[in-house]
Formats: sequence, C-alpha cells, structure tokens
Amino acid sequence: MPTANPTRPRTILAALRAAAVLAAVAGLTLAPVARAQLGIDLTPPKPAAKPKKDPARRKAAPARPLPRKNAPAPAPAPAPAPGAPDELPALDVTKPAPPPTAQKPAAPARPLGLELGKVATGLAKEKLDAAKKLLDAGQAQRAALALDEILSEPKLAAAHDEARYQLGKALFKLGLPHAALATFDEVLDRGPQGTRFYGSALEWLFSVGSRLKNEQPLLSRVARHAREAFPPGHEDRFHFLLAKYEFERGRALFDAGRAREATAAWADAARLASLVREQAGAGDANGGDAPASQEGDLFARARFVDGLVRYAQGDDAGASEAFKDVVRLTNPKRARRPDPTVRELAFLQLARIHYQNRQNRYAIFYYDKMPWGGQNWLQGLWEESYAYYRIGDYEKTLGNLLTLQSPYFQDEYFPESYVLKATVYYENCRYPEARLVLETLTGIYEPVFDELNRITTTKQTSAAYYDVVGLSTPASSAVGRKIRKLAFTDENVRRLVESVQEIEHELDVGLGDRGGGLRNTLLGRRLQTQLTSVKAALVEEAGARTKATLEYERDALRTLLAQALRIQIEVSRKEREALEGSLAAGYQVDVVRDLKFSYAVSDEHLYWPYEGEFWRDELGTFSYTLTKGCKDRLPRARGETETVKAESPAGK
Amino acid sequence: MSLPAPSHLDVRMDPARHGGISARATPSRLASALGLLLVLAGLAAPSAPRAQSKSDAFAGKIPPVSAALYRKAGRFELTLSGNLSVNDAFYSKYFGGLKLGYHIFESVSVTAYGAMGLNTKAGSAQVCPSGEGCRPADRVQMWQVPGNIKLMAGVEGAWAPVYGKLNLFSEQVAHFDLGILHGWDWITYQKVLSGTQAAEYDERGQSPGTESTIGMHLGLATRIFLTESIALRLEFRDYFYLAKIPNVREGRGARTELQQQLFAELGVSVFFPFHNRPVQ
Repeated sequence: MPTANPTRPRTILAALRAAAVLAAVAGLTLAPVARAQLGIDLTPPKPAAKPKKDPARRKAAPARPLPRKNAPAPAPAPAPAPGAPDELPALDVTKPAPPPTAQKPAAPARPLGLELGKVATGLAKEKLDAAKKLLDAGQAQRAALALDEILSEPKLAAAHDEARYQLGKALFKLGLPHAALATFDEVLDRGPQGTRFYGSALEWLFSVGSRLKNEQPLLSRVARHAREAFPPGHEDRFHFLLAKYEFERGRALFDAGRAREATAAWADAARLASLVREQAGAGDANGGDAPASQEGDLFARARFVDGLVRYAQGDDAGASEAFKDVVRLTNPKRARRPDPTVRELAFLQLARIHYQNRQNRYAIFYYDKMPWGGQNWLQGLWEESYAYYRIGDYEKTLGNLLTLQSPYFQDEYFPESYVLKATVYYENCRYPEARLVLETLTGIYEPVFDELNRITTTKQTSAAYYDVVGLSTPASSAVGRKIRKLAFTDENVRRLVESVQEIEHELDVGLGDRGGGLRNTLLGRRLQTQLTSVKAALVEEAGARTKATLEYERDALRTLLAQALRIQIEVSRKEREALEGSLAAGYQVDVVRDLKFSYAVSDEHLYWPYEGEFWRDELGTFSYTLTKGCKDRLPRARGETETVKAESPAGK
Repeated sequence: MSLPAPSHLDVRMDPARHGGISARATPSRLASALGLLLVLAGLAAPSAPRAQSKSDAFAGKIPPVSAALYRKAGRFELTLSGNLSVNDAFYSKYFGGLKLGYHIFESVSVTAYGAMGLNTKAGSAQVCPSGEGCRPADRVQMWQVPGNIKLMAGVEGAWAPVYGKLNLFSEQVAHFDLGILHGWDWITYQKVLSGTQAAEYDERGQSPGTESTIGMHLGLATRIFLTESIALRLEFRDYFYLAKIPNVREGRGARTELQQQLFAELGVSVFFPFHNRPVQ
C-alpha cells in the first residue's frame, strides 16, 4: 500500500532541482576566480574604494557620482540555514542569477587614458558638437557614425570621453540596447575618476537595463560598477538591485556549501534592501538625461527581497510579514504604482510558507489570492491541489488537476499531478480510475523520459542543448514541446533565451534591416562582433543550465515512474483482494458505495456541469464531485453519475 | 418564445472563437422575452466592461474553448428545413428545403440549397373599395401583386464566429453557434400582371407564367447542437431580388422594382462524418 503521502508536490522537486542545478554549476566553478557561478562574484566583497578628490571632475560632471556610503557589513554569525528544500517549494526570485562573465564583450582597441578629464576643444569640440546636434535632431544613425569616427581618430582624443558616452545614447536611440550597454560599459570601466560621464552612464545603464526583458545584464553591471559610486536620485534603485544581487550570491554560496559566506551575503542583502526608502515606491527619480526606468513599486520589491532573505535565514514569521507588506503595498486600489508581478509572487511565497508549516487552509487562502491566469497561477494551482489533498478535500484536488491536465496545458510538465490523481482515486477505492490515470502517466511520460535520456546521454556541448531542446522555437512534437517547457521551469533559462532573442533582433533588425548600410560600416561590424560574442555566451549559459535541468528531471522522472509502478502494484493487490472477497462471500462484494454529495455552489457562483469541454474562463474553478468512494468513508448514499462542475462568478 | 426565469439561465459565448475574447452574459440581459435568436444576437455584443472579464488574462495565449464538444470543421452538413415567410402582405409561403454544406473551418462554411413549396393568400391581402367594406382580394387581383415565389435555389457562405452554451435551470446545457450568412440565389416567381393583362388571362382561363431572376440574401443563423451529429437550425433570411411590376404606373409599362422577402427557417441538420474530426 502506498504511504499516506507517497508523492511530494512538484515544487518540492523543483526546489531540489534548483538546488542541484546551482550546486552542480557551483561545483564546476568553485575555482577561486573572481566571477564564478555564472557571473555571480563568489569572492567576499571588497570595501568600497574611497574616491580620490578630483576637482576637475567634480566641476564638470553632469551628474555627480556619490561614493558608496555603506560598504558591505562584516559577516555576522551564521544564521540558521534555510528550510530544507523538501519541505518547501523553491522560493522564486523575480530575477535570475547574473549571466556569465563572458557577457561583457572585449572592448575594441581605443586610445586610453589620454583624454581623461579633458574637455574637447577646437576641431574635436566642433566634431563632437556636430554629432550631438545630429543626435538631438533625431538622426541617431548619422550621429552614431559621426561619434564612432571621432573615437577612431587618435587626434581627437580630447573628445573621446564624451563621444563614447554619446555613442551609447545614440545606440540606444537606434533600438540597440545591448550594444548601448556594451558601450556604456566602456565608459564605466574607466571608473568615476577616469571619466566625466560615469554618473550619467550609470543613469543610462539603469534606464536601458530596465527596458530589457532580462534584467540580469543590468544586475551584474550594477554589482560591477555601482559599488564605487552611483548617480544621485538612483540610490533606491541601486540599493534594490544590489540587494537582489547579494541575495542571489548568497543562494549560490549556500548551494556551493559555503554557508557562512552565504549568511553574510544575505545579511548584506537585507541591509541593502532596508536602505530602499518608502517613497521610492512612488516612482523613479530621474535627475539626468536618461529616460526614466520602467519599474513597479521599488519599495515593495525591496520588501520582497527582504522577505526572501528572511526566509533564507530561517525566519519564516519575518518573511511572512515582509510578504504581507508587499501585498499591502501593491494593493491595486491603493498602490502608488501597480506592480502585479511582485504582488502575485508575494501571494505565492506566503502560500508556500504556510504550506511548509502545515497551515494548509492559510496556504489555500493565499493560493486563491493569486491572480487568475497570472504567470505563476498554474504553478500555484498545482501546489494548492496538494494543500487540498492534505485537508482531504479530494473534490477540489481533482478539480484543480482537471485544469492542470486540460488540453490548454498539455505541453506543461506536471507528471506528478498524475501520481497525485491516482493516489486520490486509490484512497477512495476507485481502483479502475487509479489504474487508468497511471496508464495515462506512463503513456505520456515514458516517451518523455526516453527522450530526456537520449538527449542527456548524447555527448554534446552545452551550447548544442540550445538547439537540441529547441529553446528558441517550440518543437513540432508533443514530447519536444514538453521538454522545452521543462527546460523553462528554470526561470533563468527562460530569461536567457529572451535575452538571446533580443540580441538576435538587434542583429537582424536593429543592424541588418536598418537603412544607410549601418551594418557594413566600421561601427556596424564592431557592434556585430560584440553582439555575436554576447549572444554566444548567453547560448552557452542557457545550454549549460538546460543540461543540468534536464539531467535532474530525468532522474526525478525515473523515480516518479517507479513510484507510479508501485502504486499500480498496490492497485492490483487491492483489486485481487476484492475479487477474493467476492469469491469467499459467494456474491459480488462492492468495494465502493455511493457517497453523499451536492452540486450546490455559493450564491456568488453559477453551476456549469462539465461535459468534456474546456472554457478558458472556467479554468481553475473545477470541482470534481466524488459520488462513489470507500465503504467506510461517508455513510449516506445518493449516487448517480460522477460529475465535474465549473463555478463561475455570477456577477462578472 | 418565453424564457426561463433569469436566475436559472446563463449564456456564455465565445464570440471570436479563434483567439478573440470570451464573454459571458448575465441573466438580466435575457429578461425580455423576445425571440431566442434576437436575445442571442443581442448578447453577441457584450458591453465593454463585461468583455474585460478575467478571461483576458489568457487572451491571445490560449483559445477561449478547448476540446469543444461540437466541432464542424471538415464535416458536411445536410439539412432538411421548413421555411415560413414573415411579414408578407400578399402571400404566405410554406417551403420545404434541402441544403448541403461543407465546413471549411470551425466558423466558415459554404452551402448549396434549394427550397420550394406552397404560396397561400395572406390574411392581410384585402381590397377595400371606397364606399364598400373590405374583402379578401380575389385570384385575379392576386396576380397583380408580387411575392408569389415558386422556387429558390442558390449558394451561400456563412461565418459563425460565436460558439456558446446556455445553462437552463442549472441542469441542462445547450450548445449553440451564431453567425451571419450571405448568398446568391436563383429565384423563380409568378409573373406579376397588370390589371388589363390579369383580366385577359382570366378570360382566357390561363394562369400567369413564371419569371426567374438572380437575387441575394443576408441572414442570421444559429445552430443548437443536440448530439455530435445532429443539430437544430434556426435562421432568418432576407431575400432581395428584382421583379417587373406593371401596375406601378398604369398604362406606362412595367417598372423593375426591388423586392424583399423575409423568411424564417427551422431545420434539422445531420453532420457527416457523424463524429467530430480530431483537432489538428
């Protein structure tokens, strides 16, 4: 007989998987390199360099860079380790770990150091002014070419500093954000003492970075550049991004077995998150000429990071309070800036904390609060079905699973949902149904397992996984699509693919389709090389992560299929016992009896009988009416046919 | 047709079946007991706030309905129908018809049809000479009015973007579709005579012959699915055709005038093959 809870939620598997992925990658990159762990710096943070006085720079800087006031705190005493991953699904963070170090393309050869602190004069100024005029007039392409020409002319070294900065702006206006970031990198690499445009370039970094689908390039750059100084008006954003980075870093360190350092990183993350001021939620200050960044409530996001840190430190109550704060701050009726993404995540984390602490009804309450159809809604629905199972509400468990297994989500990867379904049927003595569910599981997932096995045992480079799994384009086969979805269960893979697609768009459309032959100019060719290099690094990274994910899931699926087989054996044994009972009694012994049930729904809902058809707006509202079950479960009988109903809010 | 109490009836529709929004009508909209079709037609245009339902979260990502119980794409539909003219001042027409259609997509179909039947004098065909009481028009007088259609045949295309379901008393669910149709027709009608011609024909004991013309029609159609292969059809069609009317300007020859004829049609459809085709 299966154990009372023979399966664990998939999220638990996901947590284990995530941990394994990070551990595996960490294991590969534990060499004492400054930027190990996929771009996360695992070395202890150095104290911020005290900026040297530079009167000329202070005078000329358009946005005065400020020295970092709060150097990382010394590592506190080790805090309790976070909850074991098999007790709570992995906590999401809104953003993934930083990308590989290779993301920063090599800067082209330039005359360095000659122009520092200088203001362009004479011919250099003339040319620079002309280029800026073009930029102001909206002729970004011509401006970019003119600026690049200045940069390639050593005699105009006095204008190089500003030309480089203006080139970044021009590239952004040309719709080439990644190329712009690479150019701003060149400015920022010189440090606050090396360029007059350090602060302004940082402002632009924030602005451009917030427009990318994947904020990770920004995160790693902030960690790299903004420790020394950051532009006024952007303190909150800086603190928030750095807090996020430190949290990720802490997680990577923890997974690498460096708990003490992880604790220090988390403490630093908490401190940085606490520096984000409440008024930051109202909007971004923007003192410079960079467009305002597009982000939700920064304060709420900082509180979210704080919640994650507290959870990682083992402070469930503190984490819960932080997430509740996020919920309050993002209330659509009162929020200063709507931020549905972080609100949804806060509900999910609250639900998970309660689930971990076996407060199932609270967990259900929060799962139900997750916005219908949101990014994590389906995951929440799946986890909620386990909470329902724990409290014995089989109707809602099966109802949720019906949504999960609907044709809408046939490409989604939830193999454990079949095991849960079979378990519910088994526990209700519905052996034929349990058998059918298990057969369905093996029918769907055995080919997936075979394919996973084939992919992961074939010798190939990490980058090859990008194409083999079809990360950029969905496969035509059902198995292929499922495996792709599986790869995307690692949020970082999804974001990396988005970045790759953005860069491809820049290469094909931003550069390729642009009139005036930008692609064939010196600048165009240089940008092409830069972007291709960044793309290759991202593809490599996505492939490596995919490989780790698939390998982990392959093993997990093997275990799950074995588990299903064990349940199947139990089902057969029960069926045989029933048959033997009938033979001994000399008549048909019914294993199940009719249960008391009702179709009634609340006054706020309408009852729609389920007939095999799925309506989008009914998803997540199904409730399976168990009309028959074990003899000793419920006493009264009034059974007809099994029904599934969808409840729809009547007032909508 | 009266409808059940509002609290027991709900309609939900998928007005843009292929990727559009899904809307649900509230029972209050159905309070007025108009014809079922008119009610449905009215519901096809839900108010804007209602259209912004929670379904929007998935809009454009997943179709409004999946694993639909009744699918038409790739199937033939044979319909036996009865047609009744509506609001015709002179002739009431009782036609029987046969249609054969093919559903190219779930919402698009082409159909060939033919219909013919009886024409009877409408109750409103009265003659009221001055100083006398009104009396029903006689046979000769009826020869002088248009509308005596003998035969209609044609082809039409239909677009049925709405797929919905009706919840009756929270017990029964009826699935339906709703769409518009447009077609071209070959219409044969009894020749319309002038007063003089009618008298001559009468004297000679002759009946007016027939004339044919090309017309067109527009319509509103709904199917209520009973099983995977059987459905009820209800349609309203408005036919337009040109007919020569000699009595318009007595003594100055006939004039061609646009005739309009509204038909209500009730039919039973059988789909071939009998089962839904698998979704590609």
